[in-house]
Order: sequence, then C-alpha cells, then structure tokens
Amino acid sequence: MSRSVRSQGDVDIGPTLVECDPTEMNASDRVRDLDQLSERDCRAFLDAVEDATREIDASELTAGDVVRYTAYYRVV
Amino acid sequence: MTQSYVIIGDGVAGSSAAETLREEEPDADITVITDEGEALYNRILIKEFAKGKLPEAPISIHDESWYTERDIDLRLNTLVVDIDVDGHTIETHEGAEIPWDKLLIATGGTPTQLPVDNSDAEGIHHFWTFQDARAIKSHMEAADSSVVIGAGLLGIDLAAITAAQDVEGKYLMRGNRWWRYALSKDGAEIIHDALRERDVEPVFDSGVDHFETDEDGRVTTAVDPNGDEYDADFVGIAIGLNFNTEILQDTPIETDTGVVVDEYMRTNHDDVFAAGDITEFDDLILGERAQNGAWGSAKEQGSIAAQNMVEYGSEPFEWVSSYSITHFDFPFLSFGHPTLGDDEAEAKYSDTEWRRLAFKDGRIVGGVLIGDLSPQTKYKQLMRERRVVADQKDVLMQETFELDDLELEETAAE
Repeated sequence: MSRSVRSQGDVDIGPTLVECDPTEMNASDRVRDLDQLSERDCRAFLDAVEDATREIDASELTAGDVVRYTAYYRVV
Repeated sequence: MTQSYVIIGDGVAGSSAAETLREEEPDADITVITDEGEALYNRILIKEFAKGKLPEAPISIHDESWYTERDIDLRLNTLVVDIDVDGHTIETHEGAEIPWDKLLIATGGTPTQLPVDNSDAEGIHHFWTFQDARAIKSHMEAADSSVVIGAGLLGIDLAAITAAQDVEGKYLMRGNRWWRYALSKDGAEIIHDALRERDVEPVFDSGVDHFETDEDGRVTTAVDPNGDEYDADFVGIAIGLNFNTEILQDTPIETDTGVVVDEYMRTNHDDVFAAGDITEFDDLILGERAQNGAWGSAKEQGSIAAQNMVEYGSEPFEWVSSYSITHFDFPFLSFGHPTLGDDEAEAKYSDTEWRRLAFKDGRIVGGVLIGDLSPQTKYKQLMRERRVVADQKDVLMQETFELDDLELEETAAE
C-alpha cells in the first residue's frame, strides 16, 4: 500500500479512518465488511478505530477503501 | 497433465477457486457455473443494501469482464442437472455436456423452509441471495409490521433490517434467548436489549404454528404454537440452511449434511473436490469433522481446494473462522466453533461487554466476544497452537491479559 503522508500540525500522519455515509457510496468504491479483511488488517483496523488519531497501517487497504464495522469508515 | 476444471457455484468459494486455478494453471480450461443471474457479489453486505444503507453498485465484486480477462468461462443462470463422475462430465439444464479433469462443488446452501400452513404466502421471505435482498428491501419499505423467525446468525440480520427500515417487529424464538447454543442468558440479553431499543421485540419460547393470509394470499398474521397472534405484513424466516447436495445423490460422492472432504478439500473421489459452506471437512484445529459458514473460511477453502486440485497434498485447510455482527453500537464477534466443546468459561464486564470461550479437551475451540474484540488475536493464536489452557480460565477471562501471563508448554501441542 502506498502511504500518503499528511501533516497534522508539526506531525506527519499516515492514512486515517474517517466515518462516512454509506448512502453516498459510488460504484467504484471498494466496500468490505470487517470479516473480509485479512487477520492482520482486521487487527490494524480495530486498533485504529480505538486510537485517538485513527491512523491505520493496513497493507491491503488503500485510500478510498471503506470498511463496514459498527459504522462505515473510509481510509483517507 | 490436467487440462480442464469445472466449478459449480460462483460464491466466494467458487470464485476464489477459479482465481487460484488461473494463477496456478495459466493454460487450463476453467468453467464456472452458477444458477444465479449475476457474478460474485458481497454476500455479507447485501443485508446493508436491504437495510437501505448501501446502494446496490458497490456490492458487486466481479463483473463478467473479470472472468473474460482471465479466460474463465462463466455460465450464469445455468443449472447442473447431472454429474457423471466416472465419465468426468457434467450436464446443464440446456443439455450442454461439459467435460472436466477436476470438479469443484461449491454450491452452498438454500434457506430451510418452514413446514407450516401458508409458509409460501406472499410477503414471506427467506434471505440468502442478492435477489432475496432486493425483494426484502422493496417489501420492507412498504411494511408496517414485521415478524422474524429464527434465533440465529441469519435471523438477526432480518431483525436488523426490520429495525433499520423503522418497521415495528417481533422476533420469535423457540428457546429463551437468541443463539442459545452459543450465548448464555447474560450474553444474549445484551442482544435482546439492543433489539428492543430499535423496536424489535424478542419473543421467547415461541415460533410459528401457521400463517394467516388475506383473500389475495398475502400474509397478515403469524400464529405461534401458544396461540398468540402477531400482525405481519412482512415475514422473514431464517431457520437454517439446507446444503445443495441433491446433484450428488446419484453419484458415489460421500455426503452427510454436506459434502464430506478431507483436509485438502477432496471428496472420496480423487478428481472431485468441494469448498465453502457445503463442506464437512476434517477440522485440524478442532480435531473432528466440522462445517463452517463464514466468508473468510469459504474464501480460503476455495483457494486451498484449487491448490490441491492442481497438486494434491500441497496445502491443508487450517483456519480459525470469524463471524462479526455489526448491526449495533457495540461489536460482536464469534470465532471458531462456539457451540461445540465439553467445557466453557464466560464473564460479563459491563452492560455491553461479555465474553464466552468454548473448550474441548482443554483447548479453546471457539468463543464469542461482545463489546471488546481485542482479545480475539490471542485466543485465535492459542487455538492455532492447540494450547491446553482450560486450567487457566482465570487468566483467559481477565478483561485484559497477555499470552505471557499464561503458563504454556515450550512447544505447542500436537
């Protein structure tokens, strides 16, 4: 996964999870359920949801991907 | 050298097998046959579509070009009516005879019908396919009252769809709690409360004796064995799956509830394999024959079956399944085989956090986590390593623990 690095203040941050509205999905959006992630990415996702920064390091999730959990989250 | 592969079923197991076969065998003939009118879609997310949450488009996983690009012959809307195992052919409903060197059965299941009067009335739904989801969504959007039958992992989806569409519902269960073979009353009550908050009322020690209909044959009422009547212009039935093994009835392929396979996904015939929900496989972690109905398990089985169709013995199926429910504000995860085993442990940590582990011969064979999924990785690791840990339940059931907190033998058990 190519990581885009953004800045939050003086800190560079990688991809993060942002809650999104499922009714606004496009045909090209890749939407997956938690159970469809690899074990490693599932762990990374759950850690990111609980983390204050929501930063995620998941090898099979790229920017724009959406994960269905207790809410919908997009990788940005 | 093997040249032709035929796969019956284009769910995630069949599709995963097709993809792996093409990677392993660039020049082979690969045919995928499905009785559905569309290629692989996201079966987990069709409930989100039925809820009115997701639009239809992102639920499709493969379009027909995916198969074309891989030179895979996809036959939609096609029934297999005969399998000649000795002759290595299959016959379709159109009379086409397709030869195979290796055959994969990935036909999955069909929802079990409720054997009561008027169970085929208009307005009564089962939920398995994307077409089912379309019909459910359309009907639910116009419904005033819903009755759901089936206190398991499929029934809860129908209950959640009812709630998401703001329809008042009754959820009829035969026992005294939802998913009674995996959850205690403490664990199930978390689910019951969540349903009630969403105007879906669990009804215990209930079920359906018969349905009543109007003069047009539309369902109006569900009547339970106690004589209680529930208004219903929408009914959802989810009482189990019958596995689609009928096509194998006149063949020598061994079936029981499903298709019996070894750890390499091979049946009792060297050239016939099976993958997905339909298999009864040698579960290397559980140590006995098992079935599993999770997406990840089916996908892995498809890939493993394909590898062994190319070269038998190349890779066994060894997997700890996961099944999440994400309808509520709290997460829910079932892993392994939580309804099996000879021992158990459970703990409740708050109104929405609960945990249960199932053990067999001292080893974890499954569990259910509600509210906090963080221990799942540790439990699954203990399962894969076949660690005997049932004598350390006090550690395992701590809200937070580390594997180093356990006294484990230096080497994993055989």
